[in-house]
Amino acid sequence: MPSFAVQLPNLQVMGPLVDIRVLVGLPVEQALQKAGTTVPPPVAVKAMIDTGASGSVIDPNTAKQLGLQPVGVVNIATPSSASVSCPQYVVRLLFPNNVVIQAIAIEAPMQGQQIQCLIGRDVPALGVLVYTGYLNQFSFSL
Amino acid sequence: MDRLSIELKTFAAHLQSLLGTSEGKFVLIRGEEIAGVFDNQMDAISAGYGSFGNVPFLVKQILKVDMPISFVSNLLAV
Repeated sequence: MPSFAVQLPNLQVMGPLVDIRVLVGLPVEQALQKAGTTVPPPVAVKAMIDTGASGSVIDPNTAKQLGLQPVGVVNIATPSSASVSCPQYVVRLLFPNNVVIQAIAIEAPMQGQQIQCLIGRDVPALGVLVYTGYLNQFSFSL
Repeated sequence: MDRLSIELKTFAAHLQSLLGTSEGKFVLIRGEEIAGVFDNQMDAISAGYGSFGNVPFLVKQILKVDMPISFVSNLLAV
């Protein structure tokens, strides 16, 4: 079963952070290859697993670096806004230990510069997320 | 959402008829063309890339009410 575990100095303070890479989705890669276009290399980002997020989010700079084209639009509601229209893209999220998940990610700006990606509930929906607070560790299995 | 503004207008213009035949399914739209209706989102997206290549297109679920996706944390700057 593909899985990874992350150990942090202080999980409660830092939150479940994980270094991942974001890559264009498989249908995007196939379309680029069919057109004879170079597939952009993966973009390294710091991500946070956020169970308060319905879906996964990438920041605008990541979407720009990958040359992503939108495949949808969704309205999102946050504590400070009732409805904001955001584009959606097909991406692959490359977690440690070669755990790869294809997702339909929303593009939205993040608060501050620490993280560039939110892993929303669309990812844990596919597997098992274990948060072991007293060990400052979390793990995810597909 | 400037890059899909035409597709969103096309969706709005066809929503009532789509609701009558395909509520809950996913419609694929490029420009003013309804390119297909699919049972799931990923099939519609794959068909979009297969037909149009790496260009903007719209895949949207056919629903009477388009509810916002919720984010309860304050990590997004919107």
